[in-house]
Amino acid sequence: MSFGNILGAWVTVFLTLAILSYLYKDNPFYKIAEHLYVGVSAAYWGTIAFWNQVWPNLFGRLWPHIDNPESLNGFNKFWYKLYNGFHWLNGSMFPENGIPGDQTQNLWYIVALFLGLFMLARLIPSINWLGRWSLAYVVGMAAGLRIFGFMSSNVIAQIHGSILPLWGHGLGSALNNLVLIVGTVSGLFFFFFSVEHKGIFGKISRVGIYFLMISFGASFGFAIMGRISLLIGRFNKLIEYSSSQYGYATFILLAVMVITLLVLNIGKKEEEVE
Amino acid sequence: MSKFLENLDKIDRRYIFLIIAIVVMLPLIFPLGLPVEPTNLTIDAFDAVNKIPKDDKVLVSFDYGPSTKPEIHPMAIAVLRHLFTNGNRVIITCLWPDGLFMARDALEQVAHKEFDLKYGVDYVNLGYRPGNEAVIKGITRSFPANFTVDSKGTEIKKIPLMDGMQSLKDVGFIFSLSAGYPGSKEWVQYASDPLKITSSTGVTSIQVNEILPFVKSEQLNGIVAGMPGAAEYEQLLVKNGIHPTIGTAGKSMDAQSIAHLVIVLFIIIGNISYFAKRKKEKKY
Amino acid sequence: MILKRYIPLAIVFIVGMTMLASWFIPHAPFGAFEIHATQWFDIIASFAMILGALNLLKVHSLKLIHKKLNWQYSLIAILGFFLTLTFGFIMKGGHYLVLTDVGNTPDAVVQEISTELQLKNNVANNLYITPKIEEGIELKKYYYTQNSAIDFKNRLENVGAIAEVKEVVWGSHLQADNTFFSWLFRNIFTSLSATMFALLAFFVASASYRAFKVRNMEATILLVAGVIIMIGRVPLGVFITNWIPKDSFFSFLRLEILQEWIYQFPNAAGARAIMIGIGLGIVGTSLRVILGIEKSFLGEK
Repeated sequence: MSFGNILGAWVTVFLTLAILSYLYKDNPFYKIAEHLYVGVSAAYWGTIAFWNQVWPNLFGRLWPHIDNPESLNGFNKFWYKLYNGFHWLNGSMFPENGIPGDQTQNLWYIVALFLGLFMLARLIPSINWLGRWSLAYVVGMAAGLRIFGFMSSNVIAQIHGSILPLWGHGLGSALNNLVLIVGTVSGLFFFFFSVEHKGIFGKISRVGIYFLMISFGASFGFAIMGRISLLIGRFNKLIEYSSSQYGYATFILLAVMVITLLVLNIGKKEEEVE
Repeated sequence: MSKFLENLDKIDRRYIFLIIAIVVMLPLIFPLGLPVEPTNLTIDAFDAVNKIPKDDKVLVSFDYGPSTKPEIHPMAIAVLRHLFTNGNRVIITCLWPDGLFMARDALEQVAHKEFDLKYGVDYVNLGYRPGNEAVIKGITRSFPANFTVDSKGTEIKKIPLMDGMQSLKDVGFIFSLSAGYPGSKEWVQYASDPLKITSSTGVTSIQVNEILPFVKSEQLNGIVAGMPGAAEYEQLLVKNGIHPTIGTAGKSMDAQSIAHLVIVLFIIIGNISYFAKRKKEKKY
Repeated sequence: MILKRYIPLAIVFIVGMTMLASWFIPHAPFGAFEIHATQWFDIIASFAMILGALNLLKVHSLKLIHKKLNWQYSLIAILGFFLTLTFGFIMKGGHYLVLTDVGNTPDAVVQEISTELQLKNNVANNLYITPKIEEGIELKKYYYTQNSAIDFKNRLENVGAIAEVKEVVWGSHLQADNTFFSWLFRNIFTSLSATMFALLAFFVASASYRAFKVRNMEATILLVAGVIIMIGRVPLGVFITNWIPKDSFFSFLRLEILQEWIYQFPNAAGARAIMIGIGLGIVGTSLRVILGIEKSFLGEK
């Protein structure tokens, strides 16, 4: 077992127990772990986004690798001189003569670069309005994408799926299909708020509520199932790292934390008494 | 007695936390061996994967992270085992950044250690791209435009498995391992439905109800629902002779079962206390 | 006003309508637009993530500078932030060897490689070694530090082989073996992220005990459905009602059959109604956004 693996196990156990210590009460271990999580995850997302998209797909399209830079002329000569500035800053991240990959140059992506930089401008109060342009692009794209997707798959396909045979496939199938149709239609009646839920409409709406309650009850059951599964996963890890292979990390760190929290608790009570 | 019942819901919640911790921990250390019975929708998903023609390329999307790994990772392993046993070639994509790591772990365990497969020929990991559903929409038009290099930095045109792969239309089956947004819903809306590609999915328990209507309207073939679903899929692999033993999900079902029972008891006890209080209020 | 309101609204309209049109018109220029428009979206989304990271740094830095309450913890956040950036952009790790010549004693070289890479049966043509000597054989064991890789290189040179030490390329260092970033992901990010979510199991149990009260018919239906699903979907449910024969009239009372029926029929009906409702809502809101009626994303009413 390498040092990296053993150190990793101890760090994992410490951070897991630190978060779980919140169940006793808010304490410095939990606060340390929480703030570490916040810092690490922010940088993690940014790093991943840069290496998986910005570097290959933006820089890779603006400055794709060229085999013979001597052949460049005009705007491209100046353009690659700009790139050489990046190369001078960090030759490893920005290799000579362009970003490796299979992209062909597409200078329209300068617009994407600027929209991206406008997004970052939100950090500066005097020019944060520039971020609206980038946001407008994102919002417009998302809206255009979603109209068709939701209409086709979430509405039309679901209505199509609700048109079910009520005879010809046996009594059991007929009853089940009837439940599906009645449940879907009455549920939709409930969501129609333009008409007051009175009389026949109200009665159908009431049936709809009951179907929705069954659905919410099932969702509740599944939610509990999901949460318990996640806890099982964490406990499996703690059990794994309690072995001698990892230096009994779980037992030792648990003991240290419990003793520390008890001491802190006793100290706090003495302060309160005083 | 009635005072005791009324005061039941005033119990310090830390005792509840302790009970939950004990009932989850003990069955993991001392397993009960409760049998797992596959349910219909898991069997549908299994059958859908079983029916994939050998020549078809399968796209498996790792859209989950470490927070939902206990639920989804076992089914990822089970599905990969199933696909590789049937001789299918697999293309991995990730719509979540963490999915990159999950995919790497799953491939290391299954493709490397169990099946001794060749990267780039039998399977490829294209990695993660930010953009959510825009990535899916993009690859319905062009794979190379969106994935210029794979997760190892190798150019796509140099990877034998990607030879001739212009877009998602060249894929025969999509399996989405999803923990939320983006995930199975987006794959149905932007890929499976418009391009009529046969698909199935494995999701977290919380997402099940959101995805179930797609299954009922046959936009998805079956659904592997949470850790119990993963345990059922593992059981099906054992029953069909594809893998000799159940995996981590199956082994965790004892703890899951006891925890559920205890929570139901908590609900019942809480309601007993509530009714006792209500009875007292009505009396006075 | 033009720059801050009308241009963004124009962008939303043009991009939204063109995207919508491209669903129906696959030909140029819509086809090409769609390919590159989605790429631009992905790029801007990446910058949004970078913005989030920088904004967090700004918030915690200000807290540290002004010594606000619990500023010490902000220092931890900032240290974690820069540690991740260091591993992401400066310290890679992931060193490995490329064998360019096996020398005159190939058996000894194979033995050395098999021991180091822990290969089965001391066989060199294992999946970890790809033959193609003209390009060099990449030995798939990765080291955090260059010194560890050089150690192995020296041991190979002692048995007559020639090898070169290389590093994984930028980009693949995120998830390659034994890089600092992947160590951070596995041991810090994963444990924190997973445990934060696992905490919810405890709170959900506590909430079920305290708050889940059967006050009326709707709550009763919700509770009964929830309990049947919870017990019926796990092996315990099968165990509890195993005594009811599967082929009898009362088989529907077996928990696993009852939960399956509730799951696939009344539950699915409710879920479908919710899905259609949400779908119509999203379509309506998206149209309002594209047409400039909905301006909340600009911070306006």
